[in-house]
Amino acid sequence: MKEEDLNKHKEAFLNEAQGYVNKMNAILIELEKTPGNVDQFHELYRAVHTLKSMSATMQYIEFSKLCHAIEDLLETIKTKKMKLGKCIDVLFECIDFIKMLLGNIEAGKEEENASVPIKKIFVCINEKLTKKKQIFTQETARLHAGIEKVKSIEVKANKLDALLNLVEELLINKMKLEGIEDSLQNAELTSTVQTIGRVISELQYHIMQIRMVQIGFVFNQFLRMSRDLAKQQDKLVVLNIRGADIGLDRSIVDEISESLVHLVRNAIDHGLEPPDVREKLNKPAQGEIKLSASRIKDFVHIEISDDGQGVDYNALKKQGLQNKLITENATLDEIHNLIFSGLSTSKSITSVSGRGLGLDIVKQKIESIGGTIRVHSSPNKGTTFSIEVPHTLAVVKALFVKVRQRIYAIPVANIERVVISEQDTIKNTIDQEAIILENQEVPIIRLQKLFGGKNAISIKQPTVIVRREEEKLGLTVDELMTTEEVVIKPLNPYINESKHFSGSAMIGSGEIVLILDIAQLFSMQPVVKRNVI
Amino acid sequence: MYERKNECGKGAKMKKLLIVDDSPFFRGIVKDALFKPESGFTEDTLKVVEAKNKETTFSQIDAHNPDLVILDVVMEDSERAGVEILKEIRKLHPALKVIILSSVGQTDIVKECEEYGIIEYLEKPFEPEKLITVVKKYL
Repeated sequence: MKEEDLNKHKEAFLNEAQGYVNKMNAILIELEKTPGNVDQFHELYRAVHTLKSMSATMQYIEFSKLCHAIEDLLETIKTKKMKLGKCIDVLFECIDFIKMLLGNIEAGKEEENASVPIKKIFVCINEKLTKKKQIFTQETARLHAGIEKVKSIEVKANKLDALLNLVEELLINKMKLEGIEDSLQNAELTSTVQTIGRVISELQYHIMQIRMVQIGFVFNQFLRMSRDLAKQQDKLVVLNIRGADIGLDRSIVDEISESLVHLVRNAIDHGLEPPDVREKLNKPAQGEIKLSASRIKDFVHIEISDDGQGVDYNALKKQGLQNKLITENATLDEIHNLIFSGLSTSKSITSVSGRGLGLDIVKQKIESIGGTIRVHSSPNKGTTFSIEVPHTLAVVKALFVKVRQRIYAIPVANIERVVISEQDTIKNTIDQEAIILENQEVPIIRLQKLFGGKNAISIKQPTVIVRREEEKLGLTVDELMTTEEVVIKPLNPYINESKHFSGSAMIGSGEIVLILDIAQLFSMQPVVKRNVI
Repeated sequence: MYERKNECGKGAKMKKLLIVDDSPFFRGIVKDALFKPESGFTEDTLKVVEAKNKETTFSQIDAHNPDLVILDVVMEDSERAGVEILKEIRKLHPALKVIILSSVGQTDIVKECEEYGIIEYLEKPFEPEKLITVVKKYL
């Protein structure tokens, strides 16, 4: 259901849910006194059950996950005929958490992650099930080893953010120190600065490691989602996961998980056929969705593939031609990429209806964090989306450039190379300037002009060649500076409007530099020329 | 006004549907979905009445004689409230069409309901389009 449709029911939801929370509290208090009260227990069960359905309907994911876990706990107690015992504390805690979630919803805030109470529930379930078996071994172990040592601790994510901020301060001061060292030329100072530099890099590395979240955290949530969706649509689906242990920075996981949900939903909704159709096509009745992740250098490669009907190639091509987005001799990849242009929302592409809905937004989102997405599809064999995202967002290596007396940063990952273009090698067409590199026309953007200046024509102009997949773009600047590691900060919303920047960073002088958003600069290009001359 | 008269004149009989759910929230969600523009239903072509328990279900059936019932299973007073209501409906109104709308993972109860005769089974949370398709199929 759409968000605006659901908003109408928010008040009714809050009222009713609040009632259930109060009721659950009262029942638990009663059950604490008389744990054997079956009627009360069942009433509690029904309340949780209804809350689960209600929150799932409102698409409050954390809320419904927590209710589901509570339901599991009550189910275990019911079927194993165990007493509520210690679980009652956990149940109270869960209700408090639900109350807090309701507060979040009422205030229009984002839902808080419910993994802490959910984890407690599972500990409770497992403890109950294995308690009897473990009693003996635990006792002996205690005799031998004393108290068990703490091997891992839970840390709030915002504390890690604070640590990263401190590292940023250190990086800035290191840069200042390097400046001082340069002017003083003292051997002892030089070696100390080098040591500090190494220690800071190591510190930064370890903090980045701690911030890593396994992609399985997101992938595993799809197991249930795909099961429920498939059931809803009378389809049979198996979801296979590979590379769940691949680590990604928490901020990247936050950015991409919504896109992944979208792609998995799409695969079930529109990719996989109903079992009878599949059997007619000599395919197994059960469709398969594969989710895999692998690490390639500084990038994580994620693939989402289904063995469904594939994209309707001809219809897509027809639409692309009609809208003049491609030419008659467009390659297969070019046609497939039309899926990201918001095209297939058109009525005429019936067999993939809805496929394209929102995929343009998925692409935008992934590109905004410096990633790429591609699609490959064959009729009746299925569709594969390949996504590549940097494994960390927070720290990037950037080239500093000066444009109209201000410093900007360009992420090194986007840079192909740097050239000095001479004025007479710049080719002028009607709406576009371009330079010629290895017989290829590379369009250029003069940053001086983009940032409000006149077209400064100098004889020799440093030009940074950036790339996005196969496309190249030249950015002319006034001066090239150094390459440094910077900690990216989100932009103030008012700067964001200009859309040329993806973030900001502070440098040694205390100056704030803006980081160029390469994907956006590419999308400013009217037509990217690739013709070989 | 004119159009309304005209429609009645064509003999378009107003359909009646009963939603049985103890949760006002869910009754609201179902009702909202049924009157989405794409459903084609308006207040002139579909009358929706509501009931929150067994007792009100039968008073509403007696009062409005609905063409279709959308029935929840787990209700405040019992985990099997819907099943009990369905049994009673079969006794008193054998031909009344019933759609079960219940939470996921209640396969046992659904099987039992199927034995008593239901025309469709939908899970909460549901997609409005799916509900509309099913309701239109039987109305």
